[in-house]
Amino acid sequence: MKNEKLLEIKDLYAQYNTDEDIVYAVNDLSLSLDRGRTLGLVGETGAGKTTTCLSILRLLPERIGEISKGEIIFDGMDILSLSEDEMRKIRGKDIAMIFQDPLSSLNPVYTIGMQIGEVLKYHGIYKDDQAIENRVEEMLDLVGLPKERKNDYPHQFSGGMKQRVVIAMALACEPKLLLADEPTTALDVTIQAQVLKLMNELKERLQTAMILVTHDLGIVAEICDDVAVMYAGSIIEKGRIEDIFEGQVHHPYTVGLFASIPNLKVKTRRLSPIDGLMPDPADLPKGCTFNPRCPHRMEVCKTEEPPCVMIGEEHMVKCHLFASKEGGRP
Amino acid sequence: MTKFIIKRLLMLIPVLLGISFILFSIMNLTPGDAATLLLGDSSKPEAVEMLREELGLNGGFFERYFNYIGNILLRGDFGISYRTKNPVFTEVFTRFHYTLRLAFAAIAISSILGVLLGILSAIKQYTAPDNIITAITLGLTSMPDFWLGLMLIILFAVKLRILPISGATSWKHFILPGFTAAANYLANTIRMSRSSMLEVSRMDYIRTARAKGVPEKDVIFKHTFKNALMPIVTLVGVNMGWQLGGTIIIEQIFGIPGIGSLMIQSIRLKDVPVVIGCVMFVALLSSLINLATDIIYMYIDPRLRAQFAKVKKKAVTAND
Repeated sequence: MKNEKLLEIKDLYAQYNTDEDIVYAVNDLSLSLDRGRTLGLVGETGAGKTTTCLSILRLLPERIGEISKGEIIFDGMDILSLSEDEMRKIRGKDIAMIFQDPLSSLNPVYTIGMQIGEVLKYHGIYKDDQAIENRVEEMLDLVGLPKERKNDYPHQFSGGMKQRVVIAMALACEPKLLLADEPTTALDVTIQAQVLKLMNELKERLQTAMILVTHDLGIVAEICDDVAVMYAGSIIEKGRIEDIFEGQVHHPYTVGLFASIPNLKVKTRRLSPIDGLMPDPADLPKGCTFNPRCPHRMEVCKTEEPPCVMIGEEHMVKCHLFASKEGGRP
Repeated sequence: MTKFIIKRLLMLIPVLLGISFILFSIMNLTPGDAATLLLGDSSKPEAVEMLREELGLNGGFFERYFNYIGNILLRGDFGISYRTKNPVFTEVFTRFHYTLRLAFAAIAISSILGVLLGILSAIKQYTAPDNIITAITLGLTSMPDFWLGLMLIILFAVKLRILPISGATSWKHFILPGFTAAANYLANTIRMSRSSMLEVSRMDYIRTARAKGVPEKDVIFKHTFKNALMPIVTLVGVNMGWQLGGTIIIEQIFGIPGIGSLMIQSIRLKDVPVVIGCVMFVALLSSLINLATDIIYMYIDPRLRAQFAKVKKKAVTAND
């Protein structure tokens, strides 16, 4: 597989305009993803991970959500300048999304067979109904559900099985990019492992690129090729999986994130959390957004936004600590 | 499913018996005597006594009640109107079709228009069409039906002379009363459809549908509408029950000899068999409408269907 860029996001800003105030959910986010690779997007709840995925699909809540600045280039197309109808043709066919909660992401009044078949029908890949039926059965088989169950309704399935249906639905058109928004969070651990294994297998078989949103670093270590750490709407560190898990130099937030994972080998009485809370996205601190919680805070952090510093070939850290060594933005 | 329907139909028997007993007691407790009312105050006591004997008003309360029920159960005889001496059955049926026509007009107008405007209002939330529809809704609920009826008569029958003032001889006679009766239901249906559509449109599965590339038209009419239908069906069912019960005021204004005016007349003259006949008939219809509503629920929502369907097939489970 050639290392060709499939998705490139440049300086993306997304915000929610609520009645009370403006919530800055995504701020100056840039990332790129090659075909067939998997990017892990990690960060706390509210870091803007889901908003980033919804922005790629242009599915931010109507009237409230808004992409205020930036560019999203997918497969050579400028997503943000497409018409609504052109965008609709991409959704489900070229870019598919698996949502966080499988329990509520299936329509309760239609059979799962109809819901999987619908994707195929609207994208006109399969012409006649029989071909669609066959493909639905094939997809169910692929995710390990018996095909006799295609005429059953969502309430007749367990949580793990529903998530398999959602995955079958997302992969039915063999999308180039799969956005998986915490696909396993709502599932219990044993099912989690099964679903991840399934996604990994399918990804390899179909050569789909994937953005995996999660706050579980274990999952990231297992399936991702690249990792981006998000904090308060922007990526503060990104790199290959080795860079993040084994590299020596890290953003203070990433250090905190890893330190907060309980270590089974060392006996400790307490967990070590990062002090403080994620800033209110409607009222972000000046300078570096992490500065109020940062153990290495300097004067400059309070006033100036930190530059993106390249530590290795692909390892980027957005922090003032390393700016002096590298001399700012590369 | 069949079992459920039979069960519900059997449950109607105690309901109707209860209603008949309560009505019989109430009519018995209210002052006034049917024979005196029929003959007039100045009639001779002997004549009144004779009529009482003839109408069977002289027995004790329970004796009369059980006679009444016995006649219904054994002979299907609902008694004879004190006033016209016709069988109650004929009395009710000769009047009922007027009420039925009026109800049909009102429900058709309110449901079809209500659902369409409600959906439009929901899709265009917080924009001009939504605001206009909301204003209309407010107007419709605030106008009392007797006032609206009279205004419509003045406008369409007196000034424009395109529709008849009153009576019930052609379909044209049902347009104004139909609209008058529909006004309130229409407002309710619009509000209900709007809020139900908005509620469903915020669900995760609607976002899933969009993410799949389903065109907006199908997101609204297929994915959202079918889920939003439950409360709308409930409301239409309730409205229909009310409407079939006879809208006394509207029937009076437009001179429609429906079941509502029959009931009022009969209550005034203490024509007990007709009153009870009417009410039992309306109660029966309302119960049947409720049953129909429940059956429609099951058609819409597979989760409800599952509760009543027999577990006929062993569920095929995945290795989950």
